[in-house]
Amino acid sequence: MKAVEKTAVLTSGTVPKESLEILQKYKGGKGALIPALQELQANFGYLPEPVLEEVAKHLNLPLSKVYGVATFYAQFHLSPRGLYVIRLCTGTACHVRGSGAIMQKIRSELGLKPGETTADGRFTLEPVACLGACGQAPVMMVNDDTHGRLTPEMALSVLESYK
Amino acid sequence: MKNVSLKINGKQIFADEGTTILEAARQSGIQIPTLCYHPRLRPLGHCRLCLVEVEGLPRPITACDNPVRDGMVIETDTPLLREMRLEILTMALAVHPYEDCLTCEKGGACELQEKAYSLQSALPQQLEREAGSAAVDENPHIERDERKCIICGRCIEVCRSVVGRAVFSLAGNGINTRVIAARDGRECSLEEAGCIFCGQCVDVCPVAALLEKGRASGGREWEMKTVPGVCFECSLGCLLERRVVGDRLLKITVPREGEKAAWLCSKGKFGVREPEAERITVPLARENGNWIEIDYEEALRRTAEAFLRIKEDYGAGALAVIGDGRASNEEAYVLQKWARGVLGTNNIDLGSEPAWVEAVLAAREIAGPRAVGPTMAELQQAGAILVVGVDLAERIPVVQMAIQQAARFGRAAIVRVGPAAEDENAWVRVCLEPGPAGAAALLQAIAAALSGASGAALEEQAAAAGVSAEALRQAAELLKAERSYTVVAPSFWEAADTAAVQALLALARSAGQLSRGVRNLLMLSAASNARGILESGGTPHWLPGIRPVADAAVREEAAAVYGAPLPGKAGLERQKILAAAASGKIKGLFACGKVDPGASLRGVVFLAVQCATFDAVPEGADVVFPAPLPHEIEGAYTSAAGRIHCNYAAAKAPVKAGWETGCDLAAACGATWRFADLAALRQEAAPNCDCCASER
Amino acid sequence: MYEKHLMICGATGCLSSNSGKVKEALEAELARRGIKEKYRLVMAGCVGFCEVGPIIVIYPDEVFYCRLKPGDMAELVEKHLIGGEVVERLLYTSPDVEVPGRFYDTIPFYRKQVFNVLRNSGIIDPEIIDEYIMRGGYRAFSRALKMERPQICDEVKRAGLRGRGGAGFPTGMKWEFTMIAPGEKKYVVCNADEGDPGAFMDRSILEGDPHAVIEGMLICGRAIGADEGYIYCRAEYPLAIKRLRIAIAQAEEYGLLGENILASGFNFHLNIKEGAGAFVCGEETALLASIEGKRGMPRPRPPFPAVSGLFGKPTCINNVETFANIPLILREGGVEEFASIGTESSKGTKVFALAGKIRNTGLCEVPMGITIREVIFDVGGGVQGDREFKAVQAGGPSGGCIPAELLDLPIDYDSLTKAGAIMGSGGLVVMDDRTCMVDLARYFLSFTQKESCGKCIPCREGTKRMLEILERICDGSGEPADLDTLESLAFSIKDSALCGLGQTCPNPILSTIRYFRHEYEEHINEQFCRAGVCKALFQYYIDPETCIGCTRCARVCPVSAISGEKKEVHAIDQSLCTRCGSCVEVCPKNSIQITRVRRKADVSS
Repeated sequence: MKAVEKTAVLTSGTVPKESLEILQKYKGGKGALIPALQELQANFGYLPEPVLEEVAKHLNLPLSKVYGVATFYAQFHLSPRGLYVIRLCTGTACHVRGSGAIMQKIRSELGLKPGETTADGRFTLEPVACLGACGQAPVMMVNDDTHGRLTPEMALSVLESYK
Repeated sequence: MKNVSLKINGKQIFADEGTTILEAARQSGIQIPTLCYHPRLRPLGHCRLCLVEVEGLPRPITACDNPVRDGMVIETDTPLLREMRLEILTMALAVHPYEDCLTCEKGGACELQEKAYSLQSALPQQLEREAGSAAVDENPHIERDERKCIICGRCIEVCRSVVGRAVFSLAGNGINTRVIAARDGRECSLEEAGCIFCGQCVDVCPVAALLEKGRASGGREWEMKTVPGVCFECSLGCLLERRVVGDRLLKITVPREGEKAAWLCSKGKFGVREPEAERITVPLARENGNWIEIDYEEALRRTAEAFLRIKEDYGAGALAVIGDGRASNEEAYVLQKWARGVLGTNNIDLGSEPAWVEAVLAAREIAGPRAVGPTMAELQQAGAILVVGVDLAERIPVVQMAIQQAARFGRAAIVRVGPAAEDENAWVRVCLEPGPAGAAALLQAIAAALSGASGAALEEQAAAAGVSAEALRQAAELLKAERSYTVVAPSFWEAADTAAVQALLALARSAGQLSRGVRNLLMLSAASNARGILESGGTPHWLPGIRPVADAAVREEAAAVYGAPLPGKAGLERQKILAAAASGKIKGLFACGKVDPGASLRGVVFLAVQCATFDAVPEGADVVFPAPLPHEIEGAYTSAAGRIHCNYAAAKAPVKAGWETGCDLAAACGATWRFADLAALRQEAAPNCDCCASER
Repeated sequence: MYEKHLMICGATGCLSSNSGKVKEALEAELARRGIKEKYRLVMAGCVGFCEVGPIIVIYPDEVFYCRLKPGDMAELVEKHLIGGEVVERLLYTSPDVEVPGRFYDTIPFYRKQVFNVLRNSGIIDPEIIDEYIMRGGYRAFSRALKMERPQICDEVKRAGLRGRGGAGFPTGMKWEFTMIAPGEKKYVVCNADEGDPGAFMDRSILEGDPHAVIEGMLICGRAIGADEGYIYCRAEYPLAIKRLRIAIAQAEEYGLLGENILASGFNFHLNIKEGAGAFVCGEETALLASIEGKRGMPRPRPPFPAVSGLFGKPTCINNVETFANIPLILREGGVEEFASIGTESSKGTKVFALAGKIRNTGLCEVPMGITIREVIFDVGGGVQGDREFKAVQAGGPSGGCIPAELLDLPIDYDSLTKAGAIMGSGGLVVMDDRTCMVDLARYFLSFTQKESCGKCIPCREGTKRMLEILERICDGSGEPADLDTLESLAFSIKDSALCGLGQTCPNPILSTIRYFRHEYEEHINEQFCRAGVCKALFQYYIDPETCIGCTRCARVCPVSAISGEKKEVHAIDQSLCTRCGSCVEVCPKNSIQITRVRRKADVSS
């Protein structure tokens, strides 16, 4: 929750002061790009364009590299996300126990494709490879809460509780 | 030393340690198919076509990035490998719109097509993927068509490790992996991503995903004639190859063979391909404020008549010949012969800075006439490089690339005299900005530090130069490295006086860069062929072969060849000629190429110029002679390092060559000599300067 | 003084079955009664039996309560804590036990397990270093400090420990290579990027016993001459990261990490890097690239990380479970003890994650050499709902499926590889007759295709091609030639891809074709999916013999395709049915069955 509350749409040219402070810490450190992006994303909820520009400048990296890294890892987001991020596990155990049907249900109910955010900014749907809670398959996380042994109907009522 | 012994396809082979399997095989005439491999780039290992079987290994390995080891037994052409390669190639074809092959510019030169042919691949059904839907038309030089991209990675690699720009990067995953230009976290145009349009990516692209613009239906690669040439967009003098169909120049590339570190910049790759301004093909004359076309003979007659009248009325000192530094060695020889032997003046300067001439001559004195400056390959291996001057990136981009590579991927420590640009900060080790006392004081101070000055003496030098003693010490320490070089950018010569030149040479000597036979000093003039012009007599004080005009014996020797006595009066340098032209002391002026836009030629009574395009014609010109374009010229050019290269005509010029116009002007002015061809010209010049004669 | 210790399973599995709420309720109950200070409540590490979570184990009474709900807490406090009486109702019950299981030894799930790596998990408080030390922690490390480097490598070699992360490379040899590699600066890296879907043992180890991993890394650092280590942990594991941070801070405070450790002159610093969500980063060279802040793309080997790894320095990479084994081996007599368990080529124990259609989901640690049957039926309790066992998938997207006929295969690295699977990190996902093997292969391919880094052609384009074919087969438009094409593509990719991800991604296809070719053929030739998964290839019908007309199915059908009066046999309108399966879920009599799609021609005749 903490992560997304601060979500603000930043327009090009305005670089928030926090980002500069965060970047100061990473200046010159080896392998600093990913941790810097992680912390910035934790701060803004996503990685706004002007911030990426600052990262490149501060860490002395070509922008294309920053962008290449930011798009490579599933964890980074270049656009704002919903207040609640639904991370539906699509791992093997969940797959054989029916996560596909849950995905269908959520998609049709919220009208979302994977990776999209509802128009009201409430939910973002994010399939993830494995949450490591295979014993409770199928599993989904809504922000930091884990919900296991779901059926499509149960998944919807879980989401209902966040509305 | 070939110290590794291995067997490839049953054949015993010896190779150097560190050689890759691919190199070793190719050296022995064994071909292994490759797609992403490029001889000028670090092996990438992306395409997997070069897989070979090695005895004792559980699965095939790539030949491009695995070094040979003693006792290896390798098979490169087994049924398994053949099948696997075919499979891989079929996969590559599945994301490449091969139905476009019929109309593709790259047809016949496409490496994918070539592999498909040699492996006799089947045509697979296309795989769907995310990729741009049409060719991108966003800049005047490079056309991108992502649909054709096979993601080999060459453009990414060349841009990162050769050009040092990182315009391209991979984005996305799996089948939707794309090569994109990106900036600000968003896909963007090449220009926005920081592209300098050097075109290296185009040269290495195996398919037509990156292509020179303006080639459309100009001709297929196999129809193109390849003509070797030299770039004279700056004084570095890179080698290149021009590709033409008929008389149409379609593209310029780095030579296929040749030194590994030879790259081109935007100017070499694209700058002279298609003149944007209107071409001049017939002589013109100004009449009542309008240009009219006139006969070549008429143009000669008018010019000769005017020049001879001025000579008669005001003396030969009222005549001058200038140039924009782009004349070939042969052209320079002819023009100076005309000026000195026919017009009777030493007022000839085809373009170079006096300080540069002074420095080159002094360095020649120390190192000897045969010592040449560093190649780009040598710079990349440098241990330290001192960079003097501020306009290297802008005027001599290839040297900037080489230095950057040497710093980022090699071992070179870069010491910068003058402010470093923002993007240089990442790799410049020590940056020294000259204080109010100027560059001379700073160079002197570095030289002092290099020759062991310390304590109060060094402090004093540092104070005079406006830098800290610590920085001086650091710089000196770095420059003591083995393979230490100095590169001087053109901007240095503008303000340099004798003291600065002396300081520069003293520094180079104490850094071990300059001594008998050693010239690790690259002095770059703003004039493209400054070196060749100097050696061919195109400067006021020096006759061909850098013999002093002031020496009466030398003049006599030349007079015997020229068939006329040579003037002993010292000539004017270019800037002085322009000043005299403004004040009216010079009344007849011949300008070969562009005249500085700021120059006032008010005082000139008769101005004849030789230009290829209208935009180069100065105000007040009376007669304009046409000139050939770079790819139409045959002639020798001498690089800043002192190497002579010949440029061959890739297309027939619709106009007379520069040296021919020079001969005709001389004849019109009453000379009894003329050269039947370049060979005759070169033969006459040869005893004194081999700069026209042949490639060294 | 505490009267009793209550270990509440605080691992992710139990957290997702609400152990947090259970703990809150318990605390509230104790507070209400004012007896809070008499009992110590610990959010402990995983005890493995996720199926019956949330779990509380009470010491010294040795009682194992499971399937707890917040509402049970009042009774538990009242009866057990105050009354001293075991609450029978909350003990482990199951058809496989006659009387409720009271503690580990009477619960079948635990009977064949051997706790080595999981020795502390669920027993100690993972956030308190003293508890680890009390159980013998850091003793092996202090022993290693007194040993010569080659001697340490030698012990690891003699123990026969092989990497627990995938390929099973002998750990001692890896250490030795890194030890002898020239270079002043060396690194130890722990791969905690457990990316295989279906595996969660590394997570449980980090959450339940983080010091074991730290100690293993310390010993490795000492052996190879490294003074710095990195733990690369998935950001999806926030609890593991939190516990690691606490553990590192405590180890530093105790002088077990840092400069001049235990006055031996040995320095070691440990950093945590959070992975950013890319499966390929589990590949060691990609992982190193990621730590260096680059796109996590593999690079060709050689050079191996042992020679040129992190930041170009010699680097030893092992996974979490491998490091957790090290303290056991390095303690006095540990080598012999370790080597006494297992088979000729595979020593020690292995932790497996049991998931899928298995009754007892969870984590188990068993000796190498145990048969698959024992793991699945004795430990795992067999297939959920007593359906027919079809296969078990081992090793995730790089692994393969093992069919029923190979159930008696002893588990070790080599036998699994021979069977077309791999040990991998130890995920076992059980499939029953309702799992479609073609769909499973398609699932894995879509996973690898999405995770492919895009660098090499075979992985980037080959996986897409295979996926395309599999999708076609699942849609009913497969062609007989597809199987040959799939196999030939799979073999080519296996031998030609750049990294481990690409080289192993054809395994799920190859092993399903090998053991379940008939399912593929059925899909292609008969347009039938016997498992009822591929929607275009089956129809539901209601068995008139068993339908009791309860109307549940009709009520849940989202498209109203089911009709029928109460207490009468229902029927499905095939033209409306979307085969969503909702009716199957609710039918109390298993009356909704699968049949072949009837063609129009069949109907008219």
